[in-house]
Amino acid sequence: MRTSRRPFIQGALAITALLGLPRYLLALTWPKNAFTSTVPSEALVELLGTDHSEVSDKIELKLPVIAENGAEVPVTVNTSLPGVKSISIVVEKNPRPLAISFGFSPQMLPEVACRLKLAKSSRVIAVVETATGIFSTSREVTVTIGGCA
Amino acid sequence: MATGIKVTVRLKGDVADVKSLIKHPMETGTRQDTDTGESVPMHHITQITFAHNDTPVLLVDCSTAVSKDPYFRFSFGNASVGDRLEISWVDSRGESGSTETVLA
Repeated sequence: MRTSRRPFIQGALAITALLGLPRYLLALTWPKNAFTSTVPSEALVELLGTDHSEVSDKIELKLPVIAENGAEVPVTVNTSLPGVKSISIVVEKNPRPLAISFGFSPQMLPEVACRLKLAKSSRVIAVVETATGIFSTSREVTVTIGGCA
Repeated sequence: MATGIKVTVRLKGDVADVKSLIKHPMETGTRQDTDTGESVPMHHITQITFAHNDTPVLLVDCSTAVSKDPYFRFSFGNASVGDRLEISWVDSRGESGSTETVLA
């Protein structure tokens, strides 16, 4: 029986392409609905299943009070809450408010720092998901020159 | 696409302090080219994984609101000299990159 070579080559190429991808990312799915939502509460429902969170003073959200350049605003979140599973940052006035979400393994120390774009002055919310619930804290940031976000 | 990942890791006891910078334009899709006036298509990193000795320690899901050339700082425990830290990313076009660092 004669079998066509072409499907085999195509299959092999597809597998090579798959193997070329970073292996950890294969199993993961980017929460597209959460990141493309234009409403902060909807984005959180898509991401965490609820937009309800308990305001906690055990979360520290470090941001400049006045950000001169909205394209690069340094943001640090740390918490003394135990059992952190994820930390997400919402910029209320951005066109797509959910900016970033960090998934933590138990090995992680509960602090992350990054740089975000803020379209304009906005309330910024840090949402911390732990083994026992969802907690948050927020800060207002004044942006002098907005960063297209 | 030319991409680079800069990473520095400092070990303090069994805690690894990581700073990383991934070269990427992080285009929002709403910006216009200043010369041509044409809008620049959206092109941003969607996911980044930091793995310690093949075990993911930090997964980052990004929107377009993460600044150009994404920078992250974080720390994880149970680290020692000779351990490996692998950083890998994929973006909205399916492009990807990775690098591996040995803790010293």
